Amino acid sequence: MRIFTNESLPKILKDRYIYLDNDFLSEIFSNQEDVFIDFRTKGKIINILIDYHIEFEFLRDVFLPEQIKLKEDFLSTEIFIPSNNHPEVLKKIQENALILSKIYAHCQKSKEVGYVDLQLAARIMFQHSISLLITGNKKHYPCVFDTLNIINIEQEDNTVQSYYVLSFNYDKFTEKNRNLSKITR
Amino acid sequence: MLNFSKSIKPHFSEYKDFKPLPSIGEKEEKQAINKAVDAIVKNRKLVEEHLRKSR
Repeated sequence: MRIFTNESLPKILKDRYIYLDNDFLSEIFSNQEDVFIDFRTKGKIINILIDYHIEFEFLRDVFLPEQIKLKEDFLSTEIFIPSNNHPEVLKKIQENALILSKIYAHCQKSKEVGYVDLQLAARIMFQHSISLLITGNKKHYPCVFDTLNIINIEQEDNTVQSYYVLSFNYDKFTEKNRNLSKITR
Repeated sequence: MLNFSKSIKPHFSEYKDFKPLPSIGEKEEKQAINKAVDAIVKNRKLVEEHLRKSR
């Protein structure tokens, strides 16, 4: 199994905090180890952050003790850095998430967006100038996110799963938030 | 009780410049990668074994 991407990926990911959505994190854990190594080398990614909601999603529903340990071992490697969970930061992220949910609803794009998606989006928004997100489901991050690149991962059944490198677009957010304010005023 | 203020405003971090996360050193990084790869391989074997038994 291999990762297919273009040469601009390392440039895009350089000097950014890279947050992983659970689908991508699970993909690199569940796929062949080559995918994980490819991801590290081709993307030259060293600053991977894991939001605690994603840690929860990654560890949930696993009941085999051996597998729980393997997942915990995987996440506990120094490759993954836990996100800042200071209560003051979390409160701000919560409020960002609430605003984003209203913007998504106003854009009629809120149907498929879950709680964890909103929390992760809100965290990226909080540090938008230096943060990027890798996710397999762009529909969960609508309206104010731009696609910067696509990572394709070959699957065992010869299909390809695409993952999006997304950035928060501050200008789009400002415009949509302004439009929203006109209604809620 | 409301946990959210009535007129919430967007929040953006005051830290706008990227600061690399502390480097763990080449040797430690290799060890971390090996540990991660080890977990991946063991997990795959575990899943395969589980699937074989459930057939």
